[in-house]
Amino acid sequence: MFRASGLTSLSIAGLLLAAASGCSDFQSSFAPSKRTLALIPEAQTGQQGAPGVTPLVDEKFGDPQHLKAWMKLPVEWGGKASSVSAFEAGDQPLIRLTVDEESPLPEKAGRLVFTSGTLAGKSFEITSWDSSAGTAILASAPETAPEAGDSCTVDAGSLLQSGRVLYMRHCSHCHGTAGDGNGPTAQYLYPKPRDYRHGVFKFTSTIDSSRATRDDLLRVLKYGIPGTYMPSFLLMKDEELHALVEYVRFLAMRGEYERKLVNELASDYSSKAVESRLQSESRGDVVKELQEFLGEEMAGIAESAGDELAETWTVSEAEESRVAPSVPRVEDTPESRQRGRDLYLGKALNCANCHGIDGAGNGPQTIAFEKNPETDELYGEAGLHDVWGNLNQPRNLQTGIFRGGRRPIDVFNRIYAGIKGSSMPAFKNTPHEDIWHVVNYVLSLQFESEPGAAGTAPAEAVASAADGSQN
Amino acid sequence: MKKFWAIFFWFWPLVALWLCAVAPANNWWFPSPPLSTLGHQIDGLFYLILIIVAVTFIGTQFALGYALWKGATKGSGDKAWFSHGSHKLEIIWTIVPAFILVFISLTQLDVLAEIRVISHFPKEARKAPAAEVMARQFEWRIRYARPGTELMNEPRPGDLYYVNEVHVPAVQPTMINLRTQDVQHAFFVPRLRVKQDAVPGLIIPVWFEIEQAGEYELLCAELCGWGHYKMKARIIAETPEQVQAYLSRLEQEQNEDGVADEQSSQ
Amino acid sequence: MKSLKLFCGLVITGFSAVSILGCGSYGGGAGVVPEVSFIAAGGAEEASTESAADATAELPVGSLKGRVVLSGGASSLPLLIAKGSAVKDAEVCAAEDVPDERLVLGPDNSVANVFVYLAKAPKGAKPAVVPADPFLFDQKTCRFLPHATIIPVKQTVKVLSNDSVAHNTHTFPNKNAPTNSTVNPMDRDGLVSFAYTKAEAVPLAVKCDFHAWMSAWHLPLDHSFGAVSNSTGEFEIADIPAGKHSFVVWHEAANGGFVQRKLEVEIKAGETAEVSVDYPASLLKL
Repeated sequence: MFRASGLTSLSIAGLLLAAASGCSDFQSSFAPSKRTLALIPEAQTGQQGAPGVTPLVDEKFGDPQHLKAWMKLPVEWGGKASSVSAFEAGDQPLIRLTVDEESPLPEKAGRLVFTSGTLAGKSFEITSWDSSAGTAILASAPETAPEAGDSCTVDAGSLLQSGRVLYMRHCSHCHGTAGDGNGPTAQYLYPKPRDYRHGVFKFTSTIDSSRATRDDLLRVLKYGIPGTYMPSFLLMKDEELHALVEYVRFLAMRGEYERKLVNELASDYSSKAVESRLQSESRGDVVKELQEFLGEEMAGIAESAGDELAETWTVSEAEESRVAPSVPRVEDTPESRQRGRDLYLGKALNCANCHGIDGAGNGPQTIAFEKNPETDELYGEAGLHDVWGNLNQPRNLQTGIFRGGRRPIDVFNRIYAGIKGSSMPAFKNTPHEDIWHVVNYVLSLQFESEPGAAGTAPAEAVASAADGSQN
Repeated sequence: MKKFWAIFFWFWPLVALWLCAVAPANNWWFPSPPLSTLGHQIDGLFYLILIIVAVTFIGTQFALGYALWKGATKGSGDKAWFSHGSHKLEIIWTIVPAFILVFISLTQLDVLAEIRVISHFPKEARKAPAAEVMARQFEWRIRYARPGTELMNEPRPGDLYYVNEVHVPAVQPTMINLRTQDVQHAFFVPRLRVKQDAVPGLIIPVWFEIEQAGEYELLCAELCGWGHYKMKARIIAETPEQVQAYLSRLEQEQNEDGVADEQSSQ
Repeated sequence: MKSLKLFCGLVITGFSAVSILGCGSYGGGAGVVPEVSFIAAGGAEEASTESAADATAELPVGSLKGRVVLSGGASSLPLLIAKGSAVKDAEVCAAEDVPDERLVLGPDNSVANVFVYLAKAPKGAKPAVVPADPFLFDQKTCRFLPHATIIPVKQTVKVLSNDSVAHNTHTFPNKNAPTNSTVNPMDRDGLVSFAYTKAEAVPLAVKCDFHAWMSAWHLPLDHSFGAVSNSTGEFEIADIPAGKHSFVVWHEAANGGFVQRKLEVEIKAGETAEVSVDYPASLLKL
């Protein structure tokens, strides 16, 4: 009848093996960007003493299992701030921290980082921690003794850790492990998930030269981006959202850092460049030149890249980076909307060029073929593209879906500061009153009875006491 | 060997009965009590069916177990017993279940009408929907009418929008319009026993009367994609005044122009 | 029959074992809390131009003069936009003939708008002086003026417009921060201004998103040893410290941009080196 033949046993073994292999520990990693991979291998890896792009990035950011917190960067690493009250040297160096009943120290702490004094910037592993007494026994002795009053952060890195765990659970399947917008589900999505690695986020409340603020990112997490696949994470706890925002900033900075390093090398040491150089030079010479550059200059470039990151991201949180309309919103009257429409169609703002005469996002720009400025080659399809190389057509304003938010200030921000990364420019020299007129017009577009009929506002007509006949 | 199988088939139904008995104590039951008026009726129907089915279950399993045991303990020398069927038995066990099923279907008609037929909704609920709940992968987009107006099927200027949080009045029959932007979802509030599929292209009115103010979990109960498991929202039931206050706050926020005093972030 | 039971038993036990034991650590990589180690902020590296500046005073200098000549037979490009043709905003953008500036040939096949520059300031050279006046970047009849230019780092660039339609100025730099703002029609004050903070290795493109055919090229440099060839293909760079130098020759129509990655020239003190830069037509990608 039925016999367990050799083939059957083999297939059983095969199935079990397959099941077991799928159940092994999965180690994720930050993949190098495409531009990094477009460099010659010697530029990617470098050598001992002359590290290339990949080791330089790993040195400052680590991998997802062993993250590195580069204290230069304006990221909240987490932990509780405290200060030293006493220090006992010896085999088991012990730090006594001031205990405050009002703000208790965390239950668990694995790491302590000094933020002032002679040891500022140094971190130490804690082998034994007593949160009620505030005593920490360090794994290694600090070279100078910390003094009473030195401030430190205990359980440092906890926010980054929880951010990483949450990110992998909730975000990485679309946004990818390194925030490259290319996770496993990304291939099914349009528009594509954000690739953080340019440091560019589209929907911000800051001026065009600034980065996104923490509030902007928090807003996106809380309310999602309607009209796209980015859902709302409103139901997550505040601490979780905070951790995610910091981790996303961490990933964005990591991506920018890698980009800056590659920018220094791309024009001379990319595979394509070296290929054309080989016509007149030998590969050995090129590599030698590269190694000299990596050994002598790269370290300095890396440090200044970190400084730039610190500056741009810190400045973006400041008040002066925020878009501040100088006048309150002009009242939403039919006249204002008509003026808005006139401005929309006029040559000064030229909105219709991209957004179409009736706001359907079908202006003449959308069928023009453009070149990718990075590669100087034509894009595959006609129309406008964003800095990530994706087709990014102007918004159809008739749908009433506003990805960056539907508040008047949101639409003002889009116009005044443009949409970073896309072809929507910053209209920062248009009088703010005019921008408000356009805002009023744009917000009324979805209710126009016919294109261009903005003047006949349906707002008054709707206050009818119609009975709820829905069906 | 035969005895083993007889005991085997006795054992599992007994385990099932035991599990059913200890379930409520262990919280392996639906959240009790139901906190909506309809919920009580739905639970009542459920228990009715449960009892009918339990009685049937015990009866049939007992019969099965008896037959197995008899067969197992029969001597091997005994003759087998043949039956050519029993017309009477066939009639009995067709008519009785049919009667039971008809009984069930008739008993639940009025509850079904209250849930599905709009003319059977309480008048207060039918008046105007409190909100439009638009399901989409993988969140719930809410639209309220502009304060002072009634919710229309088409968005109107001044409508208020939010996501993943619905504020409705408690202790008052409330209706929401359920829609979906993409695929099928289902509006499921376990503690209220409200469940309704959202079908693309349809606007389905769903009503409920929440007996107690508080926060209720809204879940998606129709597989809609990879994010179905996390498609949750909050339903906050509060007094009508609190709902109005919330809507005013929402209106204010939605009209923010970034210039007003405002100490907090935008 | 026995074998069937055995087979089923094996499969069930096998899968159960694997799922209970093996899958406990499934996704372990993602859910496991990572380690965090801290890296000190480190010192900010000062750009080491200071030390070099001291030694500048009396370095012997020479200059470089040259001409870029296209070889291999290519002719000027046809007009980009003929006067009166039906392009967007034709009343402004087609008011005059607009040449295709990707390849501008002068007499004897000389090539204009070619960048000749040193990748890095030579040791001991004078640091570049940042002009106090802004650089005026204009546009007329939907044409950026000038088309190709070297801009000292940190000099303010003011964008003007002499057209009655809106333009936008969208830069695509490598190392600097990109900018993208609209320019009001007939803006003679230059409300839009920005500055490049870093030297670039190759010129960057400047485009108008409204009129996709408009383009210009900027090269921010932190030294003064660069020039753009004029309409007769000629360029001159003065005050170069004597010695062997390697110049980059770059043009927008060349494949990959580089006409020559390393133009080796020896500059002798007090003398003007003369070069004729050959631009093979085979490099053109038009």
